[in-house]
Amino acid sequence: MRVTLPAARGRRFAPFIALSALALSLSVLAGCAGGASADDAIGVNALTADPQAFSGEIAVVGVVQDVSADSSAITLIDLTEYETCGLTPCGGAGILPLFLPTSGTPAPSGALYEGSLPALEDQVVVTGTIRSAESGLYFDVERVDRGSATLMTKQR
Amino acid sequence: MNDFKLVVRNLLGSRSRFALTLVGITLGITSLVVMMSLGAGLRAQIDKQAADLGANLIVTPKGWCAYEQVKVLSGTQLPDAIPAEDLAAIEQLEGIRVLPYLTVGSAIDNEPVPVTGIRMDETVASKRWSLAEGEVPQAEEALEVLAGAAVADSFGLAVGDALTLRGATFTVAGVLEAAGTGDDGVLFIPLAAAQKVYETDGRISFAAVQVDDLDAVDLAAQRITDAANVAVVSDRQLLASVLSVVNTVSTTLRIIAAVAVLTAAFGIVNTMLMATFERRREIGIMKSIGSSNARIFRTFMAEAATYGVVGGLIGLAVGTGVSRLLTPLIAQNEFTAFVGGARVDAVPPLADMALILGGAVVVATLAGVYPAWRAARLTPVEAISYE
Repeated sequence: MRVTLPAARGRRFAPFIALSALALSLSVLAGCAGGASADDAIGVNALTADPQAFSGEIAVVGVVQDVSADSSAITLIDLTEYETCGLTPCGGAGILPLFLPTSGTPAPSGALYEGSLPALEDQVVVTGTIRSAESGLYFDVERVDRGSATLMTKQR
Repeated sequence: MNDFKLVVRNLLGSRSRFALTLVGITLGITSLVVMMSLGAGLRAQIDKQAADLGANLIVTPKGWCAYEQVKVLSGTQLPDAIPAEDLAAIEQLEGIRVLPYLTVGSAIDNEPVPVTGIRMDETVASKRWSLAEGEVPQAEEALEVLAGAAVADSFGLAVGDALTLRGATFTVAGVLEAAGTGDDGVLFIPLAAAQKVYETDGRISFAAVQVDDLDAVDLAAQRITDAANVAVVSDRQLLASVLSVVNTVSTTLRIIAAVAVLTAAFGIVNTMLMATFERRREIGIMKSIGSSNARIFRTFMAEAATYGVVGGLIGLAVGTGVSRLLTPLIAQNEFTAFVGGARVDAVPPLADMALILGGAVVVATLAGVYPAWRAARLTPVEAISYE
């Protein structure tokens, strides 16, 4: 009858334990990569229902519905609306215009931006603050992120 | 040694392999239990929401998709697309009672909250709400809020608290008792106040219609579409439309879980084939002392079935616990918010649990067929001569 010493028994399991730990770590990393910031962000419909109700810096998740011809502005629609109804939302969909000029006429906040505009149908998270101007409320963008990449930031 | 002892000895002969194979079937059953609980929970909540709406007919703008019909039940923001004239024309019709809704939204502490404009007394009576504290706002344009139980609890709202909605200051007039529906998460304000503050020019999102004569529901629907440029769905059609989406989701979840169970079954096949290979000498000795092919076959099948029984039982227990934990976490979007917003019975019905356990045993047993057949057809000479 073969007798296995405790130390030898433990060594037998070592590769299995190491492999399991690696698999678990990879799973956790994969789960954490991307999407986490989108989960915390506010939807476009929720923001446009009552923009004045939001104060301070907020993150908004949406899908790019339109890019202006001069590439200085985009509009976002709600992510859930886009997933259900595409770029033409079913209804009740707010749209969020964002002014992101890199040169020439600045945004209502007076800011210019650096980086590249997201493309049509990109899912982005936009960080900024609701502010008021003579023409009404606008979203003063600090940063535009797509996944883990930052596409645009304010010029300093 | 009797067959039972033989099976137990064989299974526990390699404990690590037994445990690992068991983990596979357990995970598969756990995922099946979780998916079935979620699906059943969703359907139950939708049934409850639809019943709570208390309407025989729902009047909506033309062209709504199923997604917007889901929103009718969840109280989330919808377009203010039915003009005041259409609403007035519908209300002129005899034999029906109309409850208009304007579903909009706001935020408290930067957290979005649904807001719905309603005719207070009529809606409270129709839905049979009870007040936990305070009173129902009375004036049509009163800047007063009737808070659902869950939203009041989340934000610590009490009678007399001030809220700013669309720049206007509202006062919490009352807090509702928990209804166990999506209404618990909504702030209700008088319809006229909502239309004024949200600047909808008298428009509403949809209307719930109660018909006096239940035998004349279809006629009432026809009369409504003749009187106004709107679409009408019956409560049954609304439920079917929403449930068709839920059933698709539920079926998809079950398929994913079934794949997990099948994967575990192949794990059992692999384990049993390895056991057949390793125990050739033992099989040969058993045959040479008189064990029949049938007994060998039965022994291996019993081992496979044991994986199904034990893994199924553990999977049921773990799955029930996991679904209780996961349900609130998964309710992160409007569609599944039903599940997180109200109490869901996360324990599958007894019949479903028996079905899952039976399925686990059947799958595991079937997985053991090929290895058992391979073991049974070994000749004693083949088995003993292998070294």
